Amino acid sequence: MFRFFSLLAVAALCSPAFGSSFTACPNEAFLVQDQPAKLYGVDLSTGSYTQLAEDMGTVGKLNAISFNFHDRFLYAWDYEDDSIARIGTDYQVELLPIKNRPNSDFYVGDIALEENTYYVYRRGSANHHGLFRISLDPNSADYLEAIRISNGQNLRYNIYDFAFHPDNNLLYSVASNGLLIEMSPETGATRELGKTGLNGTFGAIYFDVEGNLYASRNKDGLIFRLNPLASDVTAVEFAQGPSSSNNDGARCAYAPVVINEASKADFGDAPDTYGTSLGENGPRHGDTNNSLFLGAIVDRENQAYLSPESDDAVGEADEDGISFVTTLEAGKPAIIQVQVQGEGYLNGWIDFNQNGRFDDSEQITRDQSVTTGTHNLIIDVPSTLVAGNTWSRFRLSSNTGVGANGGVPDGEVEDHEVLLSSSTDTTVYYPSVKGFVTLAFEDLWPSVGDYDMNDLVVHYRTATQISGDTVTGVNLSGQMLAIGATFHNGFAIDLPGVPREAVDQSSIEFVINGVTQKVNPLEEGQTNAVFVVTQDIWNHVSPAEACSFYRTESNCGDSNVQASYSITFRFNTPQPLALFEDRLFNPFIFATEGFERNSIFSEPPGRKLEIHLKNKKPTDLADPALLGRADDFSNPDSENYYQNANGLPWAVEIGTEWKHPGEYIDLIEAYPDFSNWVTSKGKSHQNWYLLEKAVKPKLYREGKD
Amino acid sequence: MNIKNLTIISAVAFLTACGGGGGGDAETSPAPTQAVAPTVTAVTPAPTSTPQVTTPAATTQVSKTSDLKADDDFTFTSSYQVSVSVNRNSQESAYLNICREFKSSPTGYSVNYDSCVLQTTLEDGKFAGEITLTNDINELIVSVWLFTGNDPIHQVWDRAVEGDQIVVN
Repeated sequence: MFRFFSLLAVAALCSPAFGSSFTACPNEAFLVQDQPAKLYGVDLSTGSYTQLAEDMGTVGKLNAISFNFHDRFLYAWDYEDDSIARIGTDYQVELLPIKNRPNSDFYVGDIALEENTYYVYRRGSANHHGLFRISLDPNSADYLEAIRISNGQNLRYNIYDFAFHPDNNLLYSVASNGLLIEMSPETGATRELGKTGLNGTFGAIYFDVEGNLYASRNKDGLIFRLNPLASDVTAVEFAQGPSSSNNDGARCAYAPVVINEASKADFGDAPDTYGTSLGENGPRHGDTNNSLFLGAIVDRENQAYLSPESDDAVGEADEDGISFVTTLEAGKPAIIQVQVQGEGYLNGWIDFNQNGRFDDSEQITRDQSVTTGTHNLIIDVPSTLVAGNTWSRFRLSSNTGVGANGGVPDGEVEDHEVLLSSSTDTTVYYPSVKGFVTLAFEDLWPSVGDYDMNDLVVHYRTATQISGDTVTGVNLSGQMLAIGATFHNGFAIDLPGVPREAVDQSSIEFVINGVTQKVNPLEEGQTNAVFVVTQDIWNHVSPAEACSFYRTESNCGDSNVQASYSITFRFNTPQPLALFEDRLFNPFIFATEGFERNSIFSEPPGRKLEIHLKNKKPTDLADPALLGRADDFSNPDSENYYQNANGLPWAVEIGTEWKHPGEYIDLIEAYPDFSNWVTSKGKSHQNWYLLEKAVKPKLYREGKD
Repeated sequence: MNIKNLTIISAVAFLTACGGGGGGDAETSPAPTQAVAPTVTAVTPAPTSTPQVTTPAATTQVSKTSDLKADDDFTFTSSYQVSVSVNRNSQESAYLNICREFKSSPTGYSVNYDSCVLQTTLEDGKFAGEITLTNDINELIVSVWLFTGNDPIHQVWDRAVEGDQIVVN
C-alpha cells in the first residue's frame, strides 16, 4: 500500500520542474567518481553509462551521494568544503553549510524515504565518526544539523555505501567480506542477514521499487543483484558496469529497473528457462555507441520477446550474425560462421544435454577475440548429446568474461534454435533449412470450393536425415498461416509406405508454439506412420478483433501468426531411402469430430473425412465411401484422388512462403499466371506463385490501412 | 458457412463462357532447357469485365479457377528433382552444403546457410543423392568445407546450363 501511495506521489511530482530539481523519480542510477568529481548516469539493466557532468563546479571529491525522493535533488558529501552538496538537473554543486559539523568526511550515505533526512556513516573513532542524521527539511527545527546516533567505535562493519529499502525504512549494505547487513537508522543497530557469496569493495548500493538490492563492485564494475528479504540472499551477477577505485552511487529507490525508451537493450529470444527476460536476468546489451554487433544489423528492445515470439519479428530482423554451416552431429566437428562488425569478444553456448539451461560445460567458445569480418568457428560436438531441437546463444561484447546471462554495456546477443543429431551423415530439407512451402486447402470437399485457396493455409517444411541408403529420422515443421473457413479442420501428415511401428516413439519430440506437447502425435489405427499436428486448428489460433476468420480478411485488424508446430522423430529401424523420394510426403486436413460440415452430411463426418493434395491417397482412417460423392471424381482404380470432373484439386502445394489471396478472391485474380501454369501442364509459368507475379491488391494484407 | 455458400452461388451466376484452355495431350516430361527458358507465346489477357464468347480457346485467358481444366495426373505441386554427384580426389574430411540463397562479391560468395537444401559429410570425398527443389529455383551454390577454418570452395549450379544434375569434382 505504501508503495502504491508512493508511486502516486511520484506521478504527482512529475509536474513541471521548479528550480533545478529532477522532474521525476529517474530510472537510471547516478554514479560519482574521481577528483574533481565527475557524474555518470548508469543503466543498471545493462551497465551502460554516460557521463552527465565533467565539471560539477567543485575541485574536490563528492561521496555518499543520495537521491532525495522528497525534493528530487541529489545530495552528496563534499570533501573540499566539508559541506553537503545539493545537485540539480544542471549537475552543479550548491553548498549547504552544516550545523555541528562532524570533523570527518563521509563516503557512506543515503536519504530516507519516510522522512526528509540524510544519513551518513563512518566506522572509526568515538569522537569524529559514527552514524549521523541531518535533516534536509527546511521547515524542521534541526534543518541541516548533524545529530549523532551512534559513535564510530560502535559501528562494526567496513561498508562503502548503504541504501534504504523502498518498503521498510531500513538500511542495507554488503560488507567487504560479503555479509549482507541490515541497519536501523534510529539506533545504528545492525543485523547480519547472510552471505551473498561476494567479496570486494561495494562502493555503490542501490534499490529498485521491487526491493531488489544492486551492489556495484569497485574493482571490476560488476553489478550484482539480490533480494535482502528473501531466505536465500546469494547474489547473482546482473550487469557489467564501470569500475572505479572511487565509486559511489545513488538512485531513486521507487524507480523500477527497466529498459526504458532512452536506453533500450538487445535481448535474446530463447525460452525463459535459459534466463532470457529481464526478470530472469536474461542477456542484455546496452546501446553505448552501436558500433559492435553480430551480422549486418542490431536493434534494441524494451523487453525480451521469448520464443515462439522472436527478436527478428520485432523491429528489424537482426538475428543475422550466426550461420550453422554444418549440422550438429554427435561426436563430429561442426562449423559455425560468425559475422562480426566491430572489435570485441565472442562467447557462445549450445544446450547439448537439453536441460533448458546453458551449463558452464556447454560453452563452445570463450572470450574469442574477433574483428570486423566473417569468422569460421570449428567446434567439437559432444558424443553424449540429447538429439532433437535445442537452443544456442552467442554474445559479442567489448567485455571479457561475459556469461550466458546478465547485462553488458555494448554488443549483441543472438539466440538460435538448432537441431542436434545422433547419427546422421546427410540431411535434405524441403524446401530449405529455414524456408517453407505453402499448402493451401479448400475445405468444402466433396463439394467444389470457391478457389480463394485460403480455407486453410499452412507453411510446411520437411527435413530428412539420411545415413547411406536409409533414413534415420525426420522433422516436420511449419506454421498455421490462415483460416478462411468456419469449418473445424485437423491437420496431419502421412508418410506413405513407412510403417507406423518403425517410428521410435520414445524419440518423438512434438512442439507447438515452443511448448512441448504431452499428446502423442503418432496416430493410432494406421498402417503408415501418420502424425496428427492438431485435431482442430481453431484450438491454436484466434481471429483478430472484428474478423470472422484468421488472417484472410484484409484490413480488419492485426493478427500475427499464432501457431507453429514441429515434430521430430527417429526410426527404430532405419527405413529404405526409396520411401522418402517425395519429400512433400502426404500432408492433409480432416474434419474435426463433432462439428457440422457441408449440408450433404446429415451428421458431422468427423475424422473419416480427409482432404488431400490431388492424387495423394487417403489414410486408413478415411471412409472410402466418401470418395466420388458430390463434385469429387476420385477413382481409386486409376489412383486418381481428390479431383473434380475438370481435374481440379482441393489442395495445392506452392513452392514458397506464399502470400495468399484475400477472402473470396479467386486464385486467378490474385495470381493470373496460375492459369497459364495449369493449361501448360506445368511447363510454363512455373514461378506463378512468386510475389512479383501477384496482383497485390488482391492479396491478404495484415493490419489496417 | 452461409456467407460462403452465397458467394459460390454468385460466382456461378457470373460465370462466363470463356472456354477452358489446353487439355488433351499426353504430358511429356520436360527437358531442363525447356523449363528454364520457356518459349511461351505471350497470352493477351481478356478484359475480365467484358466477357467474350467468340475468342478461340488457344488465346483465352481463363478468369476463374473453376473454369480451368487439368489432366488427371497434374498434381498442382511445385517441385522437381535434381541429382547430386560428388567425386573429389581427396581423402580429407569435408562437408558439403547446397544452398538456395547467395551473393557474389569481389571477395567471394556469401551464402545464407538457412537456405540450404542439402547438408552432408563427405566420406572419402564422395556423395551421391537426390535433392528436391521448388519450381522457382534455377540456381544453387555448392560449398565444400574442410575443417581447417578456411573459407570453403564454392561452385554455382545453373539449371539452364547443366540440367537437372549437380556434379562436383
